[in-house]
Amino acid sequence: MTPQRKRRGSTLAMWALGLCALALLLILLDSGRLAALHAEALRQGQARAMSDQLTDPALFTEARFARHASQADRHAAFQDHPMALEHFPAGSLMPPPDATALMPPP
Amino acid sequence: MSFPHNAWLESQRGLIDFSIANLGRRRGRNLGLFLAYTLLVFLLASVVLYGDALRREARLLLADAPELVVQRLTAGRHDLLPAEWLDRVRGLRGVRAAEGRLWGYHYDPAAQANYTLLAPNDAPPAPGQVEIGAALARASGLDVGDVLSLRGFDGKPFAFNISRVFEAESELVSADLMRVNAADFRAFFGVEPDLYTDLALSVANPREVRKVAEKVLDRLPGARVIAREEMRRTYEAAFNWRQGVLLTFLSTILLAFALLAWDKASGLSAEERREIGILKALGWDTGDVLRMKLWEGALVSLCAFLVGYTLAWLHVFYADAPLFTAVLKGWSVLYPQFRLAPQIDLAQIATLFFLTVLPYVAATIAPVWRAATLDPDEVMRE
Amino acid sequence: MIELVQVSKTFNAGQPNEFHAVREVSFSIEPGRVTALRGPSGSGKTTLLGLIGGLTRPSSGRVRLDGRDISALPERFLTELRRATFGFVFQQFQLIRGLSVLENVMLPATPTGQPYAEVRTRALQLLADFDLDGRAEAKAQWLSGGEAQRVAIARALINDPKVILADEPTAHLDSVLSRQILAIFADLRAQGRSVILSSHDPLVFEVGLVERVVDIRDGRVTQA
Repeated sequence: MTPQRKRRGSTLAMWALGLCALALLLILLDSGRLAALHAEALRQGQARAMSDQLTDPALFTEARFARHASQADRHAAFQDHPMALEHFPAGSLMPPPDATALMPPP
Repeated sequence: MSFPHNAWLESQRGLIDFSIANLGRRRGRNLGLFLAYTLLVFLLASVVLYGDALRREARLLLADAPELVVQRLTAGRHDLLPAEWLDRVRGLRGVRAAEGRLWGYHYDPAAQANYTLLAPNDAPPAPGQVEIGAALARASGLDVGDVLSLRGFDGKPFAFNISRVFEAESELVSADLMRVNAADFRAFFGVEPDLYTDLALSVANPREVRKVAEKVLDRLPGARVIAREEMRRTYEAAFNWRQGVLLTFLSTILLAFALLAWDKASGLSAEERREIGILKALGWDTGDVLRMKLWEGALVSLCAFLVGYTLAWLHVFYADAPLFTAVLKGWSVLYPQFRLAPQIDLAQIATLFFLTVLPYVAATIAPVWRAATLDPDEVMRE
Repeated sequence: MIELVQVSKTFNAGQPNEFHAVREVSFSIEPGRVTALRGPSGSGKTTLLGLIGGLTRPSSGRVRLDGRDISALPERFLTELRRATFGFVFQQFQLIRGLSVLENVMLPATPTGQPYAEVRTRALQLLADFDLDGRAEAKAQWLSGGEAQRVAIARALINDPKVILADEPTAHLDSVLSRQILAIFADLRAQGRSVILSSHDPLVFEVGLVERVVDIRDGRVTQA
């Protein structure tokens, strides 16, 4: 009478590894579809940028310089906020103070 | 049905059996290690994937930005330039087109945000009308038909009728944009009719850009000429720097983690030494013991890498990176909503793989190395 | 046939705690017999057993197996030889905790790369021979002393070795269990294997199992 056959550890390991690899492979393969979906949005963005002659993305819009990178001198500090520390790199590591806290009480 | 038996493969499977059983004996600890490692890979990969995709996107969007931008400097600071500068550069050879640009920033205390006002040459809005970006609409709570009221340069209120909100697809470039009529722009900012913010030049031949830039400098002493490439590089530098800070931060965690794993493992317990001795006494040679340990480290880190990377990919490209937007949005009032397109970069995957898997495997094998080479006779002695 | 020629083993040579475990021991062991190394604790029997089985190399002298010098073999060959020829049963049983009885028995066969199913069948058969097949899936740390000892012997037999080496096999067993174990050794002898054991337990020498005694004291053979 042979006892109930228990699954080998290596079987478990190979299955786990195989599944993980498969999952990654599948989403990588899906990237083509995503890119195609994105193409239209990209085209519209490009059209807008060209028509208005824009020179940089609208990220970090609170920065005085960043909305138009033409303003960014190499020596200028990276300012992220009107109230941010005008010092590199501390200015980007420390959050700007809460403006409401600095306002005088009503 | 049975395929030819390979002794080497069979022995490796046997070693893996032991490795898994070994991992299973301290299930809680090893699970914790696996989760921590997966989290680390997830964060690292997310930062890299997000940063790279964003950079790629920006580059693509702005591929047709003007080749040269001419600005006036007064006492080292950007100043408005006279319209006659336009005439001076228009005639230059190599300059296909030249236009004066009118744009500026306005800080709206109500929304605590910076808006970019632009008076375009191409299809400008009617006087009194404004076309706004989607993020601006969201932040101010206004929509088409509403009135956007801002204080002009002289403190007097200025009312704009919102005639359009830009398409969501272009948010990455238009989120904070306000397109206005040129006359309105000048009235709002108090800019004289014969002044422009800067000039945008398009150069037909990309190889002539530098030469044209030199000619412009000759014609317009005191001007600053910026090439598209320079703008791109500056922005990328800002990108790289931010990404670099995050990566350095995460890498130090990775290093700390590796050191911790090493430290925990480097003192082989008496029990572990005994077991290695038993294995050797039973007929496992040094190579077998080390290979078994290698499998142990490799399986855990390989799985952690695969899972972490997959999750990072899902996080950035399917879920729109909520972790990062939460952080970035914290400092930004007008944050654009946008999707990023994935691109497979094998070099990037390989680098991440080596940075995460190798240290872990090394940390698993190294402490065992010495014990594995010892004679098994220690097992015989109590 | 196993030959020892002027074999010595010194630990921590050249250091203040230098210890000569075995001094210039020479004797031969005939195949197919039960040989016992007899001597008190610290006499060097355990070290000698290790030298015979290739678990450790002599500091000087030679160990020969069927005429072949094994003391100078590189580790890989020595290990292969050891796997095929010798089966060890340790004084403290030395089973791997956390693994099942079956997994423990199959352990020495892992590096040989034999098909899993075959090794498993053989292991189960061995366990059945020792009345342990019901305990095949039990974790090693749950076994009683007698059970553990039998598992250790089954493990030593998985690669079908010609020689069984057992270090103080009755040290942790009561008389009843001791007799059981010694009966097993008698069976192994009947199968044609060589059995070499070390002991200072008088019971081992009373049951008519041992065919040859080698007396050891202070690392030297006093009577072969």
